[in-house]
Amino acid sequence: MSAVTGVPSLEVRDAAVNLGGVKALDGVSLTVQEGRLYGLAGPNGSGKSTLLAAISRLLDLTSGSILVGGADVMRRSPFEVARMGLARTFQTVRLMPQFSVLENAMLGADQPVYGSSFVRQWLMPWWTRSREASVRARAEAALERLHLMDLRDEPPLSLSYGVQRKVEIARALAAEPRLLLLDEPTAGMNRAERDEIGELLLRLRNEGVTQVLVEHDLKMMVDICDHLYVLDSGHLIASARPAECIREPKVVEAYLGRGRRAAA
Amino acid sequence: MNSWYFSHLTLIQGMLISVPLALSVQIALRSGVFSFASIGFYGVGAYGTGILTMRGWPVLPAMLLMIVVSGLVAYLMSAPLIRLRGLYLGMVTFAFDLILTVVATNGGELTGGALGLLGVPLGIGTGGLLAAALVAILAVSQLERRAVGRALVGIKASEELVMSVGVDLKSRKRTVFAISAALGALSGSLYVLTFSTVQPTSAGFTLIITTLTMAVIGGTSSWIGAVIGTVIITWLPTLAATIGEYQHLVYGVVLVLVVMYAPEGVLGALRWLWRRLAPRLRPARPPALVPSGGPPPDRGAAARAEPVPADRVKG
Ligand SMILES: Nc1ncnc2c1ncn2[C@@H]1O[C@H](COP(=O)(O)OP(=O)(O)OP(=O)(O)O)[C@@H](O)[C@H]1O
Ligand SMILES: [Mg+2]
Repeated sequence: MSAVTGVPSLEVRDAAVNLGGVKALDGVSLTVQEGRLYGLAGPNGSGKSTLLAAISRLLDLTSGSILVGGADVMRRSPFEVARMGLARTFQTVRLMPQFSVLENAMLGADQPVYGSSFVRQWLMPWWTRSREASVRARAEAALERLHLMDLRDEPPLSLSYGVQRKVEIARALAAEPRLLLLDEPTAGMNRAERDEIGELLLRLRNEGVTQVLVEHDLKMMVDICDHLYVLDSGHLIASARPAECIREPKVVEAYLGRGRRAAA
Repeated sequence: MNSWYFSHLTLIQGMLISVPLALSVQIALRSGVFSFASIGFYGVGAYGTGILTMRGWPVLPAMLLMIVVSGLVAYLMSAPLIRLRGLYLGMVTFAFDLILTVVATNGGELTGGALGLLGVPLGIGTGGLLAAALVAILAVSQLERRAVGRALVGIKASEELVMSVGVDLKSRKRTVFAISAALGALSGSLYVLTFSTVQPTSAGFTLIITTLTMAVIGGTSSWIGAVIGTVIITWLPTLAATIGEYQHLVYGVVLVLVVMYAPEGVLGALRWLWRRLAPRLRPARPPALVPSGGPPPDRGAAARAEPVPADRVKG
């Protein structure tokens, strides 16, 4: 994933996914350059989450291929692409209810800091002590960026949905990813919170984190994204700079034509 | 005190022997691995250690060999098993246990047939049992802490989540399976070295129910629950002399009631009580600031559909 070599951070080639007879993705090809913030738009059920699941290897493609940092990942497991520097958030928040906000964020930093040796993590508490401290530091830094430090000891399910989403983002940031996939990170948030997240993503972009953002808030996408991809019924129907993209007739039709959701 | 100790020695020993076994089931359940295989390995440990010591092996090497072999065999076995989900894994490992009792019954001179092994040399004292139980507790409690603990709890919350943060889920589950088997073998070894006998039925249906009750009644979220459950199930029959006869019926009913009404077990109830009482003991503090967010916008069924098998965090 180096800008010097010009290898894109992510490449999707002719991806297709069939889910129970539905073509959730069909012939999708797209490229994500390093250090940019990409938007992935499209009406409900157009395949956005399916694409993110395929990229993070939680879902197998029916055909096509995906390259992360130039390497074909079709034979790799989700944990292996995570170890390549990919982190993601989920559309339905995935938080551990028995753990505090801080511990949930720490989960994101565990693997990068501790590494993968189970026995060392298990039976060498003296070895893990210093790692635990740096995991905590990373998680706290991530919570800080989302202004969640006051809530770090709360159980996540006691928090509002919007705040839970922020914890989800903090967990992903704690991994200090190079490539970040965000599936509707601001759903359930109010305007001010959305703006705050938008600013955060822009700052991450300027720090060099490559991002793919799925959002229904088109205004936010236009404001912050470098480039927009639009899916409809599993097809990629547009790829352009955001301001131009949302004016393309196909895109307008996808959003308004079937009266699903007004382009904000 | 001293006479009480000696008149209850068998119960105390039985309790210490049960601790690793209850932990073996608890650690599996806690990590979302619904397996009873450790009960089968309890039998393997009991028979293996019994057979070896009867042939003149020293106690410690015999025990260690059975524990290590059980762990390794379980690790190899787990490759196909961990693909099974929930109840299916439970049923397959249940069958595994019952098959082992059949093997033990038909093992000829080696296993002593239906009568089992008799006259295994006594090889461990109460101090040794206590030490073994403590080692088991130490090993399992370390699985609940720090990165390992977060990953294992994460498995139960969402397997996708755990994979997406870089945890090798399959290998984690297989390791848990192996640790669980090793704990079972430890418990079986302790049993045969304490009571000098083991029968094919020792590791059968009854033990599965008893152990499951121990793990579940105490609460599977922590080793403490398994220990609480072991203590309760060990002493309950002596407290209520009348239930002796209907012991397993009572266990069955208790198990069902706990699963239905208190899935977190006794430990969960204690935690709940603590949460209620703690604020009164602590100086009052202002309610946590929760930035406004409101409910998620209703986007219909599509909003809930995510193109991956649903194993979402439960509320
Ligand atoms: N597990 C599944 N089984 C069958 N079909 C599925 C499954 N998950 C999703 N689908 C279908 O695949 C298509 C794409 O779904 P996907 O969740 O990727 O859309 P999306 O663009 O993320 O939509 P949303 O904006 O609602 O999140 C939809 O038609 C959906 O109904
Ligand atoms: Mg989606």
